[in-house]
Amino acid sequence: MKRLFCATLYRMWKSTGTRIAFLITYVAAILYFVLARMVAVGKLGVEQAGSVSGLGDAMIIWLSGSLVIGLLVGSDFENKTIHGAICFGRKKIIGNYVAVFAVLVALLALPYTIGSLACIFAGIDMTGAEQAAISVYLGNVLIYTKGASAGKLILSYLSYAMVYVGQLSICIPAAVKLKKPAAVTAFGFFLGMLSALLATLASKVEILDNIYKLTPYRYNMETLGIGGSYGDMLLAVAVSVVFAGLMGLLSWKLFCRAEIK
Amino acid sequence: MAEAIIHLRNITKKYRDCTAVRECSLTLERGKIYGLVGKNGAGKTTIMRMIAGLSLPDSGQVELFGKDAGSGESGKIGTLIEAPSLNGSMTAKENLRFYRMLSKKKGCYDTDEELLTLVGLSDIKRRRVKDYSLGMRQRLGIAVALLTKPEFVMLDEPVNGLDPIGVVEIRKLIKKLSEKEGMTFLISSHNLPELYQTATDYIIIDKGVVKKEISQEELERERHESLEEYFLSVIGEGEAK
Repeated sequence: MKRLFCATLYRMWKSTGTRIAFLITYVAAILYFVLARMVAVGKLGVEQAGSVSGLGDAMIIWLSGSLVIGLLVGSDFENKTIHGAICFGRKKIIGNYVAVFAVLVALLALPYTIGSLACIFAGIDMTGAEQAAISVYLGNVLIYTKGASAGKLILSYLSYAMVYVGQLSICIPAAVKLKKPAAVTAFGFFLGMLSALLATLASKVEILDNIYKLTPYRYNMETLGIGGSYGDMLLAVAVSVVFAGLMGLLSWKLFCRAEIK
Repeated sequence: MAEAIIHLRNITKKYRDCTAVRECSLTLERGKIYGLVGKNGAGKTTIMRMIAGLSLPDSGQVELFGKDAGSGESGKIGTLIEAPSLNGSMTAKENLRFYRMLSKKKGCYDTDEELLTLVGLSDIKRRRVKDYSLGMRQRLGIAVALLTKPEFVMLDEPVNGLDPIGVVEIRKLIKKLSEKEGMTFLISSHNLPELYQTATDYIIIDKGVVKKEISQEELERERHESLEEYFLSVIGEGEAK
């Protein structure tokens, strides 16, 4: 399994598509904090904050994450490199997809984590950029006070990275079924927008809200930012792990007797 | 009798209403070069895919080295089925590195250089595979299949796209590996004159059924004009020729 994991990471590292996804994410993260700061100091008008929020993690990680999962699974089928991995057994292949995917999503979230930590520890004031803050990362910068513990800050970031893994894990069975990187990316991005709409709807319909609470899609910056409770953060991690596990199980179910072309 | 390494026992595979392979039983022995011969759609690739674990039989059993297919025998089997399994954005060396990482078997070729030289790709090893011609990709696909010095290699149309020199080189390489390393080959090809110069045994398949198994010696003893003529007579189309 370790050999499969390392070889898959190597394959992803060598993929042009993966490098583009990471480049987009890292550049977007830098721009996000720079532009949010410009909004905060008044160099950009508040009316621009909406556009700035489009570079936030909530949008970019869904986009690059679904591209990465499309490449991870889809290109394995397209290039037939899965022929070399099949001797490990189908169960291990799916387990490996989930594990590699979790690592890659955590790495995609890294520039936002570093950016917000840099702002916090350099004492960069973001007050005024609230409207660009549909992000737990910028949210933490906005509400950080010297009294907040570093431990809680780290837990906040870890739990949010895990929530992204949980949220995006729905793309794994889709990728196993669709087998085309572009189709998976489109599916993931559409789902990202749909989940935001469903969250709004769930807040108005109780039964939908109860279902929504069992998924990682309900977690946002209010519950996972440093203003939230430890209990919420741990619950978010647990829900995300269980959800990603279920998606892995569903993927295996789709894959266990599937034809590999 | 040589040691049997692969057993197919009554395997059947259907695709919707079409039976691709019907109650097929085969035993492949170590050190032999088997030629799998059949018309388009006869079931050759399906048999190879089931041995590789890429397709699962609806009934019957595929046993490799005493274990069920797909049970983790990494490095013991090399495959080139339908098209080479290569990453276009990697170079030849990087592709080989990827497959080396996958394999736990250490008895590989000492260096990638040695293997790339064997398949005639040492000059272009740093070029990205997406820029390779069909023949170059095929050569690299063969290198990947041979990377771990596997005990059993399946090659589906291995000389497809190769120039005449490449065809001769690959033929020599297969024969050498079989004789010196005791490697077993299962080769599917429509190029029967070429297969006749490579294989030691033939499996003739038609409409998903194994029609005949015959060795090169038996074929020569029976004084058949060519493998093509024998194949057509076995599948009942001799007169058509």
